[in-house]
Amino acid sequence: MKDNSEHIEKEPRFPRMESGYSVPEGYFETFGERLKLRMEVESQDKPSKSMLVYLRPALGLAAGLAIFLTLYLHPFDSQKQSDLVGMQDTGDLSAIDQTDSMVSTYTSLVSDVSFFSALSEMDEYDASKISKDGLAEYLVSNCSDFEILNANK
Amino acid sequence: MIDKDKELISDLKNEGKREMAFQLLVKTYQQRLYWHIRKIVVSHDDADDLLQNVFIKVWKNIGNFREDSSLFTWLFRIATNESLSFLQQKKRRNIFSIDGVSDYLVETFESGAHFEGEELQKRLHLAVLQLPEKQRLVFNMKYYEEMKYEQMAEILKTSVGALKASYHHAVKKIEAHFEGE
Repeated sequence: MKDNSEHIEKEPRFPRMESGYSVPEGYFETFGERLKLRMEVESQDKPSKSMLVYLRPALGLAAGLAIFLTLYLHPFDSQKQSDLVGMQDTGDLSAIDQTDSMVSTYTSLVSDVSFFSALSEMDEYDASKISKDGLAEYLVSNCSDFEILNANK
Repeated sequence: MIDKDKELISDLKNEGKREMAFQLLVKTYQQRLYWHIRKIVVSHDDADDLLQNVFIKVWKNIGNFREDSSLFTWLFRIATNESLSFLQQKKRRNIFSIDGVSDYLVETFESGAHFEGEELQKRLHLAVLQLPEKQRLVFNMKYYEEMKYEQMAEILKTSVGALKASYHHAVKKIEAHFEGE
């Protein structure tokens, strides 16, 4: 049986060659010095371990205080949201004022362009184009009997 | 482990002899480590940074070196990991796909800085840079650095069989690349 490892060990069909990579002149001669310089600079920049031991609890305290103050001065306002939910569940009407103000805020934000374009679409609408059957169908679909009977009252 | 390395490690762990020993370590291994890193990351500037990082790591961690492998193996393992981590970081920051790393390396190579080889050497590099990471690494170590499989197995913590298979596949792909040109 042929030993498969033989062809795995075979040399490549392309010739052996160097990489062709080069370095700047004097690179290796000066590498040691540059490394030493970098290590000296880094050891000066880094705060000493003993300083960090003292700083850490102070930093933790400062971070905790910052979080507390943020929450105290700008609490998350869940009141509006819970009011809306309350309205749906219990019929609490006190939230309606708030929703009205939200609606008016929204409508004020709707651009004038979109509002007037909607109006112009309405103006173009010609009521005479509605057939009696079409109107009857609309009323049956969209209005209650009570509303229809009392429409002219 | 050879006696010279044992003595060097002992001096590196000795506060009074540490600096001298470290200078000797750098002088002894800088070139071999540099070329190993350079073939992985291609760029001279990146290789220079990474080589410095390797020696700084050695300086900081020599106390943790358990001497269960040779000094050479340990150094090369650090250099390989630093280089591969560097490429991983590049991949993450630039949203490279796996193929994208090859594209990055080819682009770096073709920028031409610090390459003085001939056309055939260039073609070989371009073929190697298209290989998957592991095959590229194994090919570099076997073909260019002429390492023994057993040595590579220690450095890369993988089996000799797996390395032979990687090298075989790498060579086949490169041969096909040349034939297809």
